[in-house]
Amino acid sequence: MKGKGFAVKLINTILPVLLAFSIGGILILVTGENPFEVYGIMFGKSLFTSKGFGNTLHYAAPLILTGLAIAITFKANIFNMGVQGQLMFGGFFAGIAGAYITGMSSLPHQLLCFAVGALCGVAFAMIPALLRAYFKVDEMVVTLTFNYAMIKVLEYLSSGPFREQGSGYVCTPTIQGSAMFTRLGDSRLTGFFFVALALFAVMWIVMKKSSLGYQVTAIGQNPEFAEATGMRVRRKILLLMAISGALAGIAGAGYMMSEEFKYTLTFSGSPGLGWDGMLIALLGRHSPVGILIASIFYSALKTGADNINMYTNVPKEVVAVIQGLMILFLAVRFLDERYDLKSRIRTLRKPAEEDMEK
Amino acid sequence: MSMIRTIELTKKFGDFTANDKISFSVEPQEIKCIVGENGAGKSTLMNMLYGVLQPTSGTILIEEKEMCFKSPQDAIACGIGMVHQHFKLVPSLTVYENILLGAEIQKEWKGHKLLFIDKGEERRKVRELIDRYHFQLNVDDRVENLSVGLCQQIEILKMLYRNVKILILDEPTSVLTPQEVDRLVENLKDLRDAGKTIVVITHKLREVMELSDSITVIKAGKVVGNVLTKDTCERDLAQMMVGRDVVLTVSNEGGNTSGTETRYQAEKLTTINDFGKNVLNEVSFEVKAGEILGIAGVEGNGQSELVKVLTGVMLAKQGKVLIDGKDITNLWPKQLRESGLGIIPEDRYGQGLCRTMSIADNCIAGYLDDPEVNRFGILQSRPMGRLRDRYIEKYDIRVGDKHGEVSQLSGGNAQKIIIAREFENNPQLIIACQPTRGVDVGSIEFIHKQLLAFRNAGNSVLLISSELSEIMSLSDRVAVMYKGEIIDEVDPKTASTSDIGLLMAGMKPEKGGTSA
Amino acid sequence: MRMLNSILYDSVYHSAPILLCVLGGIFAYKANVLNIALEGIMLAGAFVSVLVGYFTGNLLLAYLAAIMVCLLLGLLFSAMSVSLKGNVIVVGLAINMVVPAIAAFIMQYMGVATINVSWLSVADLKWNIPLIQDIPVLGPILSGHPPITYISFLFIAVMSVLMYKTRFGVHARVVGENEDAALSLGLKTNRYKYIAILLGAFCCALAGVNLSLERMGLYTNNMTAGRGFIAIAAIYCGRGDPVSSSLYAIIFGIARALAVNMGLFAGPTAALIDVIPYVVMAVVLTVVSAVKRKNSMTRGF
Repeated sequence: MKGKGFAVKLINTILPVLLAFSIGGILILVTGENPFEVYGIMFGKSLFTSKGFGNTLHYAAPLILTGLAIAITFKANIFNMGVQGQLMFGGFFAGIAGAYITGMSSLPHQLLCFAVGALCGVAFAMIPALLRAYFKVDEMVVTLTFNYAMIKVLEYLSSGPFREQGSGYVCTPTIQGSAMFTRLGDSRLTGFFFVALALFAVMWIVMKKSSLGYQVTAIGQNPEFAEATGMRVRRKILLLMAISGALAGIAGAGYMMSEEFKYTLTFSGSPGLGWDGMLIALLGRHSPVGILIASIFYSALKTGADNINMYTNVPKEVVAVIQGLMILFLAVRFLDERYDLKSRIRTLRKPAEEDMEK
Repeated sequence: MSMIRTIELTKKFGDFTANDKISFSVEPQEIKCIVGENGAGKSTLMNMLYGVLQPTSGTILIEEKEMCFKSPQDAIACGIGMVHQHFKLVPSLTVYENILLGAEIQKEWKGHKLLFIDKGEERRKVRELIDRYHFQLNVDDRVENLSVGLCQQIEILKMLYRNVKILILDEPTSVLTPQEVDRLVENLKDLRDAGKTIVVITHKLREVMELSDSITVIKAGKVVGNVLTKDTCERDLAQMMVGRDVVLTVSNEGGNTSGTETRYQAEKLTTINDFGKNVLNEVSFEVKAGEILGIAGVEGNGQSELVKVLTGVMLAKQGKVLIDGKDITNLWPKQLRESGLGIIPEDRYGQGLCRTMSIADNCIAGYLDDPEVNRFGILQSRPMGRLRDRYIEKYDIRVGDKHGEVSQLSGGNAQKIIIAREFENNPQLIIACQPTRGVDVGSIEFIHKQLLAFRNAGNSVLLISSELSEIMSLSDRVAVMYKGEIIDEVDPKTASTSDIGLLMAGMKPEKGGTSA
Repeated sequence: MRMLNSILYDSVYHSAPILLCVLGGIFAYKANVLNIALEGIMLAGAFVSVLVGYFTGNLLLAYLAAIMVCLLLGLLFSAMSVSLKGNVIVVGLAINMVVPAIAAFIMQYMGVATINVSWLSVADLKWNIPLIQDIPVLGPILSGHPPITYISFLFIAVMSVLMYKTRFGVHARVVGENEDAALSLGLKTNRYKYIAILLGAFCCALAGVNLSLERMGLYTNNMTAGRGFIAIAAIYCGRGDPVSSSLYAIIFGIARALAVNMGLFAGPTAALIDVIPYVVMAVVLTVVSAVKRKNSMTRGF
């Protein structure tokens, strides 16, 4: 029974990906290029060259963290949609700490920036967390809309008090050399990737083996049961949101220290590392190992996209389209773990609801 | 010509057969009762007659014509109406809006229907209907403010408005007070005399005898008897339902509590529900060491709320709860367990177990910090497995795959996991709420024996149950609840069933008149 | 005075698209299928109307095409969330991501960063009502706006009636409040959800067209700038009631107008005014929830 369940889960994950790539392929055809060639270039350059693979791992680092940030709350049916905002907040102030604090040596400075990033992520996540825990306010809507509030706040901070004078566009001062992660080898890979891996290992233990992981599963499956058997759900909501915010903040900080080095209005790319994390969590089915694999896969996709521009006529936005389509198709379970696709189509025609009475 | 007739009606959910070749018939203008234990398949049968479920095989004939209902609307169009056990009313709408839901009257202009609802006309029609059937309802009241008995009337009226010829009621009396039950019986008999055919699903045998003209008994998905009410009695029905004499064979020796100290005390517990209504009113009682205190009463008189308050799921507005003198009022469930309380909740799948988690996972629920399975915050799977195997062995839990989920287990075996878990953690007092509801007879005996053994070892049990026989045979003392208060306490060994019945109806035997 | 006129005019100007999204979205909210793709669908309306206007030079075609495409998106959303029982939030997010991606793809392919409908003079679309436009305070509010802006305010009344005085409104609300009750009476719940979502898509289409074609005659990517989410905030604050939600939408529109106009004086700080809608929403939701549970003795989480 376990084997069958796994195969079903795998199909449920791969089918949406294939569908998305097929539709992307159609778009590529419209521009007059050969989809297989394009996909070949995309993945070939990003996975099979040492420089490309290094870049892939480099960009996967923040994705692993944001994916985990989303997964740990979603598994408990807490919808933290604010990972993007928490990441930006954390990244911004990590950048400030990195730029304005001088005279520190490398390791302590980087740790400080990570700490600042994590704290900011936690602080920002605590607002919706407290509202949910104590006032039962729907955190989905609050976190979702707060992202946009945060964008505005950071816009103000980066074009006002923290603006780098003498720069042509809106940005904050560049961080000190001591806060930057240095590149290993000829790709953009830095030590940040290993930080992300370490955190991955920790989260794996937490989610799979620890008492907290058990409680996350319980709260997600049956919150009434969780509370009645003594898992202090209110406290767990706060704890899980804090962990999520911290991971997001660390992702932002790390990205700042290893890639951007200063905050600009396009800091985390388009649509944003937080939203990429949503896709990763869905692809990885909220499980740590799945998220790791999904991060590398998706990062390969994104870094490969840059190569498309260089070698073909296809606009690299096709990757964004594929990303959106993947999320769309992942929203639906094509093969329910218990019934097959045929019965699902049958239920489309049934007007009445099935009642399980035992 | 029969009004309803089924021929070998069968319903399967995957491997599980809920209804197995059921054949029965209902004559026009009669009241038929379908009886059976919990889980026998009665509701499934009715859901098929009402179009909520489709049969796997078999035929349904209405007025001797073969029918195939794909939705409740088909059934209603055919003249069949159903009043469900769990009301399907919209709280924020009024009585008339609920009754006319789906059949709203639109304003007309020169013979053409406009988009707008004609509220005046709706009110008038509903008022007419209420008067015709002598119900006591106000068309403009919002449903969220009405009592359960009145809500049921609205459900019935909903069906009558749609001119149903057949009315099906699913467990209608389980949430009514005794007076409301009498009213309902009266109403149903009136409806029958007015030409309707009525089918009532229930497991309350006394009401069956009062109300019905004929009876069909269902056991484990099959029909085991079709009789006329005048030819049978409660005892025979019970025997058909269970297959043997239902007299509980558990012997209750011991329980001498003279001179023992008070273990658990509730003092003047008061609380309100979400509508601001008082559901508990200065409830006070105490449980001594080595004693089982039973709380009896018709469901809906505050027992559920009392349990919720005592198990930390609901707050008490006033009052105190003490265990061994320590104040545990309004503590969270985790703290209550740490104070020596064990909890067998009313809703085993809602609060006691997580169906989609494994048996081992459910065995440690509530006791996650137990050093046997928890080291530095990490749960150790091998000790968990050993714990689970111990429980399975000691409590005779029948499992197919011990690594599987709890959803594979029957109600009785799932309940035994809760029992095992709570007992094995050595509480001083167990709150057992409806511990044998929906449980097979073999497991019922086992659970009762466990409770008595627990008591005999010097511990205490607070037993809340709507099955009077269970309360009477297990308890050392019985407190009866009525409308959120403890109306009186009796000694089960000397009190008669009729005395307790009166108390449950709010009437104290010594005084004259009711306290309603 | 000029400033006041400007703010008043801008308030109406900025409120209109939010209002439309709100009025369309309340039915989906009441029917319990929260449509967070309001942003994406509005963007699609904006993009398609400009694209079609650009290529065909026909205004009517542009409007119709935008409505058609948005309805199709609504259909997609409904099919995936209602019929295929997909996760509503994820589907909404996906649409929000796919729409700008496709728009960017097409624009990149065309080689432009913005699409400019050069033959259209936006001023022509404005209805300058002769006498009213000169009234001191009311003038800029009532006159000088393109057609959809007027429609958006008219819809407040239309949607109120639809929600409370018609069968559709009652049924849509019941589907959201107690789906079981609806099913037991044979109401086709899926159908109501579909219609509610499509209604929202239609209104978002109008909002998008108003935003791009009617007001500026051009399209840049992400020009909706989070308005869809402000609309969601307004819907939640007003609990899905047409009048209350519209009130919040208008307040948020005024905030936007203030932000834009103050921007000239206060510089970057003006961006902070844009945070107001979100803070207001959080406060309102908290207060509403606290009041609702003030006397509740049940513990939940």
